[in-house]
Amino acid sequence: MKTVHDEKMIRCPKLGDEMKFSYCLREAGDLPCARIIACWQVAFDVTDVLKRVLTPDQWTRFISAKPKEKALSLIELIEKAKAKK
Amino acid sequence: MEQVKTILDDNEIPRQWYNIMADMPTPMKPPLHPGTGQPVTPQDLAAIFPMNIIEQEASGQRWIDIPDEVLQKYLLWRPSPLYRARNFEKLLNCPVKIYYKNEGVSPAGSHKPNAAVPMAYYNKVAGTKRITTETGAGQWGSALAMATQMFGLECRVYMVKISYEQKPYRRLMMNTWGAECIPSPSNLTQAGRNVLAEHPDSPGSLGIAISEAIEDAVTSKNTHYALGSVLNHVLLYQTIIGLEAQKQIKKLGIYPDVVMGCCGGGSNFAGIALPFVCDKINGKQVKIVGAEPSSCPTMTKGPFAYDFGDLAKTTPLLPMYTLGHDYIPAPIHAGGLRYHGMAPIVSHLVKEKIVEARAYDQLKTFDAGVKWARSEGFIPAPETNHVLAAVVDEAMRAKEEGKEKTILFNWSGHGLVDLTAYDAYLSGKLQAYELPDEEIQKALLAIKDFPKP
Repeated sequence: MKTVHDEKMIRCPKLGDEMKFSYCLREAGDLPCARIIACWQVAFDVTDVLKRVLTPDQWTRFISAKPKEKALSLIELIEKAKAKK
Repeated sequence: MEQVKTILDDNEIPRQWYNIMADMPTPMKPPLHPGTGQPVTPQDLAAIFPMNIIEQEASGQRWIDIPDEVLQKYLLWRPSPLYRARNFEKLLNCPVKIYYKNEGVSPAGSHKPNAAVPMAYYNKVAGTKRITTETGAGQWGSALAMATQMFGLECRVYMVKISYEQKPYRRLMMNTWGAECIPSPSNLTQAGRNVLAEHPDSPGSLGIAISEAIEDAVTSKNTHYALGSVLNHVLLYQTIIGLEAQKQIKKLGIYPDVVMGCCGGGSNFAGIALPFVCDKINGKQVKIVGAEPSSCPTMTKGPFAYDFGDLAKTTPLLPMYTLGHDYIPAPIHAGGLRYHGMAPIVSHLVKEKIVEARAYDQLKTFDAGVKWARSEGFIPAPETNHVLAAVVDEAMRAKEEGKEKTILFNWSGHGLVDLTAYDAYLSGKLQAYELPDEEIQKALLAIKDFPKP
């Protein structure tokens, strides 16, 4: 997933640190960060970039992902961790 | 000589935290357990939090006593001074009086210890020996490292690997306070090992670090987890900021027209704002504003038109400032303050129109932060720059309206270990991204036939 924008920098509101676009593209493993469009859309047509660099399956998973409330994310993680015990 | 600081004596420190849940004008919907579909119960969280903290998370009691042991630690830096930003006022040349709570005076340099100290204390009381957490660039991790040391607890912080490498000073602060700081993903947890197996060079993410910290807490003896934002008890502990401010403005004989804080997970905003939300609910005239990061140009560049709320075009047409549904997906239309990382209490107050959300782009925030440093001296944390941009904005509005205003805000921390962020700004690496007009026109073509409200 290489793009001409990879070296551009932005302050990441999740981490509190300066990050390159290349990090945002892979923040969620094989998917971009859920905030990538919110953060980068004023810089360039990031939606268009994503459509080009993601496979159709990745694009579908990316736009279909529903954000969860923190408490629910915690409970899901607790259940997963309990299963590993 | 003009007075700058308003100080409370140690014995004037508030003895109770304020719990907004007792005064919410409309009830908040409880989160539903993803497995059972039933409201989440205290027991669901018992694997990671001690019961005394869970009770506070679910409490509807208006005032909660601050234990003496916590007050004694708070007194190391609290009550924090209330400053009048006279130099910034002169610089802005607007009809405003600007007051701020300086939370940068804490040992960790931010408001975060206000929550870390009681969390460490309640864990100690509950018999916890060790606490795990995650951190991005390290503000929360360093605060918890300090607090756990105060109460003789072990602490392990999973720090997102890319920040671990980019921000050595926060890591070194954690180490100095006796905490273990582990780059995440790590080989210490199954969650970390899974990521490394698939992506050996993974730079990490906050999501992975949270997974590791929770797995560690659930699978280790006498270990609990601590979260530095979002949850009700975190916001509760932070109300000490606003409660002190209320005592200080009473000494000055003033009351703010506007109360402001910056919003990430909501803890620093809630800290200054919730006691004033209580006043507002009880009839006081006060505007309460949360400032958050955004690069979204919809409010300034898009026309007000009906648009779909999502890319799939399944939601009803909603009136909004828009660049078109093909261009901006739902999370942006919904507004950054209501994204999933925000505290439910703050989101609820925005929805109820008790709190107003405003977004500022990164260059505007750093511009305000540098102006602040060059007038008031203190270098703000980059997050704090968001509220400074909001203060500048509010001052300009006052000038345009020809109204005198008193502004109170939370200066949530200093930026002395975030100077690389200023380097990026001052050296032009954070470029002034502006969407070209042709791009805007292209995006707007998608909604040209939509009705206008």
